[in-house]
Amino acid sequence: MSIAALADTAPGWAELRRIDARQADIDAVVTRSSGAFTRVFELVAVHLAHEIRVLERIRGATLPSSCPDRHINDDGSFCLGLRAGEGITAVTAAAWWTKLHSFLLCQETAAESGLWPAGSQISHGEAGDIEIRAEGAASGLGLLHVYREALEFDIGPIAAGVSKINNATGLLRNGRSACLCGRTDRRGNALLRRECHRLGCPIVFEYQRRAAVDRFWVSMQGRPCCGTMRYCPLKP
Amino acid sequence: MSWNADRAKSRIREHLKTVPAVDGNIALDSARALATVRKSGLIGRLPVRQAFLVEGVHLYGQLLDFDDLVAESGTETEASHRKMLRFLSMHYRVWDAIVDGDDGDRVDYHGARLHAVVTSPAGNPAAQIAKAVALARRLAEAAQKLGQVHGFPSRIRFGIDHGRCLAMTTGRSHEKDTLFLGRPANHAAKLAAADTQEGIFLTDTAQRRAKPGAVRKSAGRTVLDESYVAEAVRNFAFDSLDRRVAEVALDIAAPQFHFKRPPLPLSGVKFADLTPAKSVRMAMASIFADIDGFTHFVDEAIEGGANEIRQAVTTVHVIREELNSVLKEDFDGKRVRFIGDCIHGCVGEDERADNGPKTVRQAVMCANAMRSSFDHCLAAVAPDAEIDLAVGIEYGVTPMTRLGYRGDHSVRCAASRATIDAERTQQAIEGGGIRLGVVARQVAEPVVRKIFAAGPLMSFDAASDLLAAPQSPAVRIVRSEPAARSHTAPSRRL
Repeated sequence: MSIAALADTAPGWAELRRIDARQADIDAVVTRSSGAFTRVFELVAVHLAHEIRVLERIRGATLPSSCPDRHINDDGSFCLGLRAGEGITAVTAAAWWTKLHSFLLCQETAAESGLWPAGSQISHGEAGDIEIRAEGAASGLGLLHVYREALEFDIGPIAAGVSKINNATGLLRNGRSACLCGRTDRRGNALLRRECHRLGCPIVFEYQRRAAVDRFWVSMQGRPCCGTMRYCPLKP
Repeated sequence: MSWNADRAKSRIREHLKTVPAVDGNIALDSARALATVRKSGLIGRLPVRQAFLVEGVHLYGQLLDFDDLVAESGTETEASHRKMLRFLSMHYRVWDAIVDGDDGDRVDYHGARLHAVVTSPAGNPAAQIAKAVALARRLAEAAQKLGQVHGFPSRIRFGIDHGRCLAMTTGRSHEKDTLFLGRPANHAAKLAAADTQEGIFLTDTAQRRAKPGAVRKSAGRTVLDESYVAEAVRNFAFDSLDRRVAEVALDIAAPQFHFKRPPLPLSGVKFADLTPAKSVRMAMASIFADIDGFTHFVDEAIEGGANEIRQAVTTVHVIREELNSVLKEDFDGKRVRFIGDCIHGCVGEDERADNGPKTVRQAVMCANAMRSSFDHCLAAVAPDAEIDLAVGIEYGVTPMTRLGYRGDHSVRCAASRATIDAERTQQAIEGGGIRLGVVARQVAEPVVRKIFAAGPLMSFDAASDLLAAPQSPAVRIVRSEPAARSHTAPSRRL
């Protein structure tokens, strides 16, 4: 069903070469900003249990066989987005292709520069879920841009606020002070930190996200490094 | 508009059709080349689509007090820029006298750096060097005299080298550039800029080819023997220079510079329309894009013969024309001039007020697009050439005007702290790459600073994705489908 849905919604840049009920071979070439084409990516989409996984037909042919910073899992499958391969139906298949499109564009940029475009990825492992929640909270406060600056460049008031978190509680110190994220109540009065914590403070989320990212990299220790990314913590 | 691969390839095909002709005989016969040069008069009037091999002395003069004049108490103001332009105008007028006589040929002025070529007496390197030394001494004396009259400090450091260079002229009217490519021009320029000690200095090559006894050791350094300089000054008269110095000394009515903000894009600014009274000034990013390794490439070509010279001419012509096209057509920038194998250009953003972050971003995108075009050029003309692209960028308020005498010989000028530092920033790059100056780093957006403050140049496509440029398809996808952001699952095995 999922493979059929993908076949029905395949975009022009993807050619499905061989399809059966469980898997499809895909050749993909996408167009970059300048109108130049990427390499040909020879992929296979496999229906396993309740999800679709996509990986290179010959693992390691043009992409690293695994690399967290290039969003390629231990098994060689691509991580196109948070739970991107789950529940693919006729309704969601087009979005899956969009995610693959973005993924392949970014692979080309990463191969050349050793960097993944910051806006086209979310944090590794369980930190990804926290990032989504943090973005929601920051967005509600009109602070999405400030949050992205904290995440990508470690600058701005949210990044500064992270250093004021009590490591024992995971919350901002001085709970009866005005929250550093700037949240106010309906009358425009500054909200206390302890009240902001209950509503979901982006500073606390960012603290949690950073801790989750650290745990992710600890869990990855000992894995081989493909050597293609500029700032990979796995680099020897 | 932004960079497009097909458009760049198409332009490169057109540039290949306009490669200057290199006649085998002329290229390899300096006497004939010089005869042609003399026949056409000023080297700047060389036929636009011809390249020559010219043997002679390259004389560079570096105005050592320029840096101090650019800013007043560390700040660049309209007043400091007026003063700096009057200072340059005075020097340019004096050096123009070299052109008016038959003493040598003015090649180019680039801010505080002035360049002349001495090609006579033909076939006599020692006499050419002596003449250049005499000319340098007279120019130094003239600068000192005029500096006192006009109230400017006027110390000059001269660098002199001798040898064969590839000469070619491109452009039309007020946008014309005559380039000398090869070791002598490069080494003389570097010697002039190497230190802040004023005086006349010869490269090792020039020392070997000068008359015996021209240099002597003094306190561990090689210096020109004063009796040699005095003899050179006696032997070579510079009547036109003397007349000009007297004229400029009497002409104390300095040009009045008035600035206005130029209408954008900067590519629309025409130097032909600029005069001191109609100068433009705004904060812009200065871009210096240099072909790393090109001097060596040209020197090998000169040694290699006609075919290699043709290859070098084709390579430099196609690359610099394409870099100019990227700057002007794709990023609305303004070329100030080609300087040897380097292009100096400016980009500016926002009609009403200066916009540092946007301007620096535009300059960085332009630099990476230049890299993409550079790669296409190499693939088309010299796939095996060991050359690279190095781009320095600095941001700051910069005036643009024309200096010297009106007409075709007036000098295009865009000079400021930013132009000085952009070039120095470029020169600090080892091999190829990109580097931002101190001010450009300060005003740049965090993402620009993080990725492009110093490091390798990337393709335009990669830069577009990494800087989240509007034309990036990856960026457009995420905007329309925020869930299309890659992620890595916790560890698992298939």
